[in-house]
Amino acid sequence: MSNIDSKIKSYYLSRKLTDEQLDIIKNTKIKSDRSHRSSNLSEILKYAAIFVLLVGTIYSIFLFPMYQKNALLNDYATEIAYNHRKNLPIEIISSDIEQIGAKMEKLNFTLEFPDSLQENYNLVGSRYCSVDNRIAAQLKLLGQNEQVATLFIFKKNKDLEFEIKTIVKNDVKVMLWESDDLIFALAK
Amino acid sequence: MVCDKDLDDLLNQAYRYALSLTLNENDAFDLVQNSYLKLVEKRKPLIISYFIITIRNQFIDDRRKQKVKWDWLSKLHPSTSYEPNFTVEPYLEKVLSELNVKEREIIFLSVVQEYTAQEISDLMTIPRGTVLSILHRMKLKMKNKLKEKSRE
Repeated sequence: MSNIDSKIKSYYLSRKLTDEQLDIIKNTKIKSDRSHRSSNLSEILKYAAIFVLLVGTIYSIFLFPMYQKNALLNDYATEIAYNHRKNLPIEIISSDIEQIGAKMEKLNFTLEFPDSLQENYNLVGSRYCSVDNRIAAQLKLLGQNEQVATLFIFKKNKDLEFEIKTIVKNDVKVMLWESDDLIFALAK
Repeated sequence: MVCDKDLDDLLNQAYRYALSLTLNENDAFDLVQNSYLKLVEKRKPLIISYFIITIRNQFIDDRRKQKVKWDWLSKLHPSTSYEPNFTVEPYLEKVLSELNVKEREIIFLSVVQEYTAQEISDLMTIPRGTVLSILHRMKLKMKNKLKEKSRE
């Protein structure tokens, strides 16, 4: 180490904080500990806000649409069960779905009789009705044990997608499913 | 965990660095106190390199603010000027006070903190060559000045 270096070093090393100054600096820690506590509180609040936001996002993205969908299907089932129980007379008597379809020209979709029902039910006839203020076809079916069932067919909302669902309303069992852009509901 | 004795040494090291920047005991003390508070609040480890960075940033901020303040004050009282508080080693202090802040800081980091030229270059974001050149020139300058002073 050169002479000038040692002079500079010894000059700086001779400079020290007084004991009083050291105490003042160290006592500032107490204040900072307090601010730690308040910063801890703000951290907790921050995480709580993030949690609420996350729950809100999950609810609005997943749970709320699911709730809305279930509520809508429930409304359909209520209306369908009511129409089924009214047991209004059929307007078109035919067991041929194409013939019925040709006569129900007000419908905004092509009428079809699902293959899955053809084995257990015979088509008797149909009439117009409405579900959720939309025009619907109400097909009267006769089961193998003479049990009367009603099949409702109507156009679905664009964004409504659901698995096959069974809802019981006023002792009427309503089975709903979707196919392409149609909703089918079998009430019995 | 820093024990009391180590903490005192650390604060003194930080104080010396602050003094190399400010040349004023009170300002150096304020810098160390503020930097200590910042480090504790941010839960940074109490080591000299963090102190140096924090003190440096604080000093630059203060200088910016002070420049505005002094510009404004000098318009009101043109005679107001900054006087370093010299108490010991009058020759060396006088010579150090004739260097600018950057030169003093480089001298301190190299001689007292024993930083390499590369470490100083990284900290101050200036080329390593500039650090070496300033170190060489300033040591020579200080040597000559001290010789002159001792002859007086």
